[in-house]
Amino acid sequence: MREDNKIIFTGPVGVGKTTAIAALSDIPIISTDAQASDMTLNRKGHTTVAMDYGVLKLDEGTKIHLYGTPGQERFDFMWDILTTGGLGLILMLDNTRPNPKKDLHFFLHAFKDFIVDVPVVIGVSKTDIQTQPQIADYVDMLPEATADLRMLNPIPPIFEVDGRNKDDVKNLVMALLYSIDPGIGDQL
Amino acid sequence: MTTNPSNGGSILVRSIGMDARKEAVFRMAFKMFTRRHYQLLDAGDAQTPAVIIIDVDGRDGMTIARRLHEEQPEQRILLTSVSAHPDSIFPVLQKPIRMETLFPALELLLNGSPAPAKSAERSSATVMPIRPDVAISSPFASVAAPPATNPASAPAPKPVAPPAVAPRPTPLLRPEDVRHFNPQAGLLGLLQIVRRDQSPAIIVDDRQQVILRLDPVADQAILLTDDATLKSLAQEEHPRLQMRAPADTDIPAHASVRHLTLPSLLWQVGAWTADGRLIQQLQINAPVQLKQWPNLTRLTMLPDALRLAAFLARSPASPALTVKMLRVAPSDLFNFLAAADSLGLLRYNTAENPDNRIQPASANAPEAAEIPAAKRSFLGRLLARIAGL
Repeated sequence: MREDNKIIFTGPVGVGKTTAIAALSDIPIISTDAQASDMTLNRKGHTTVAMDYGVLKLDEGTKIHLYGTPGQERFDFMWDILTTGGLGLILMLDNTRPNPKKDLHFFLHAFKDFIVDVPVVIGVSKTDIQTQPQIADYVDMLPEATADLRMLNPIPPIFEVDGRNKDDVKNLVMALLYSIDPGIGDQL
Repeated sequence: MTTNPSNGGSILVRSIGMDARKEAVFRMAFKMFTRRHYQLLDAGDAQTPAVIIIDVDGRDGMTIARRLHEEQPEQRILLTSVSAHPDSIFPVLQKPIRMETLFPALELLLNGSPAPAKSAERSSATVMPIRPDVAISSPFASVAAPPATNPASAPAPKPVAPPAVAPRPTPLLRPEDVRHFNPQAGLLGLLQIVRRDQSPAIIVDDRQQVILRLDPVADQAILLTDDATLKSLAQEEHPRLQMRAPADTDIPAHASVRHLTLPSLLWQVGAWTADGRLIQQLQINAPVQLKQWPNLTRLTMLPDALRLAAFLARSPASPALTVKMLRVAPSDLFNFLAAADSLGLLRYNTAENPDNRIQPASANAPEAAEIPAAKRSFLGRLLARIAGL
C-alpha cells in the first residue's frame, strides 16, 4: 500500500525548523533559501522562502514527508498546500522573539482548519538565551490564544526544545504520534 | 487543441504580479509535482509560456490580465487572488493556494479551452472551489510526493519490521495490591513546601550536612549529594531532615555541587518517593486528569511518560482504566502520577481542594475519530522508526 503522510513544521523565521527536519530526514533536505532582504535579515542571513522538505522512510513503499513552512507571515497564502494528508503540526516558537504570544496566536490561527483534525505539539526554542516566558507562561497563554479555535488536542504538549538536539526533535514527534493515539506504543 | 509551449517536455509558466518570494513558492510547488514538469520562467526569459498566472491582488493585476487577453486572446491565463472574483472571465485560484486546486486548474487550462471564448462572458472553468472541503482522491494524493531527488545519495532506510510483536499483556491491577504513600511527608513534602511558599531554603541531614539549597523564585536547586543518597532519602518514610533559611556559608567554596531546575528535582524525587506506590489522594477507580503536559524534554524521561501524558491530557481516566487501556505497568503509572503531582500538574476530586476538581472536556473540542487498525499499525511503525533514530 502506498502511504504518503506529512508532518508539518511551522514557526517564525530562525526558530530552527530546517535544523529539526534535517535531524529526522533520511535525505539531505531540499530547501529554497534566499538572501533575506528585509527585517528577516536582522535575525538570519539566509532564510527559507518557500519550504523545506525532508523524507523519513519507513520502507520502500512508505515515506513520511517532512515539510517546513516559510517563517515569514506574508507567505501564509501558500501554506494550505502543505496540510492535506498531514499527520500533525509541530509549531516551533522562538523565546527570543519580541512577542511569542502573538506568534503562538498567529501560527495556530494560520493552521486553524488543519488542527481541527490533527494534533499540534509546541516546541519552544532558545530558552537558554531568553528564559522568559517560561513553559508555564505559554500554558497560561493558550486559553486566550485558542478561545476561538477547535483543536483536536486542546491541551497540547509544550516542550522546551533545541532543534539541534535530535532527542528533543524525536520527543516532539513522538508526542505528536501519541497525541493521535496514546495506545500505539504498547508494542514498544 | 493548441500545442503547449514547452521546453524539452517542460510546461512553461509565467508569473505576473508576484515578487521573487512568491515565485519561489510556485517553483517549489512545481518541483514537488511529479506527474508533469512545470517550469516557471524567469523574468527576462522571452519564451512563450503555456500559462500565465497573474496575481490580481496588486494594483494593476486585473487590468494587466484584461489587456493581455485582448492582445493575445489565445493565451491561457489563471488568476490568483484572496477574493473569489465571481464575475471574472478568467479562472481564479483563491488564496491560500493548495496543491489540489493549483494543478487541476493548470491541467484544465492546458487540456480545455485555451482562453475565454468571449471576453464578455464569465469563465466557465470549473476551477472554483478554491478551498475545497473534499477529501483528496488517492491519485491526486501523489501530487504531494516530491520528486525523487538523487536517489543514489539517499541512505537506505533502516528496515522497520512490521508490528509482529504481540501487544503487551494487560497488567493485573488488584486493589489489594495497591500501596499508597503520603506525598506531603519526607523529602518530597519539604520540597513541596518550598515550592508552595516560594521561599529560599536549605535542607540538611541529621549531621547538619547540607543536602540541597533551593531557590524557588529562580526555579533552581543546588545538589550537594549524589543521586543514590538522594534517592535513599526520598524513599525513607521519616528521614531525619531539617529545613531552614539559607546562609552565605552553607556551601563551602570548594564543595562539589550540581545544578538542577527545581521542577526537575521535584519530578525526580516524586517518582523516587512513589517507588511503585500511588499517592494517597488517588483511588484506582477515581478519575485523574493532566492539567498540562510535563515539559518532558527537560525532565527525566520516566517509562511510558509520553504515552501517559497523551492519554491523561486527552480526557480524565482512572488509574485502573489507564492501566487497562495502555497496558502500562501500574508501578510506572503510579511513579508518573507522583512525579506529575509534585509539579502540580494533576486534577482529581478531593474535598480538601475543590479548585483542583476534574474539568469536563471543552464542548468546543472535536471528537477524536476512531483510528482504523491499518493506521494504528502504520503509526506504530512510525513510532518505532522515530524511537530508533
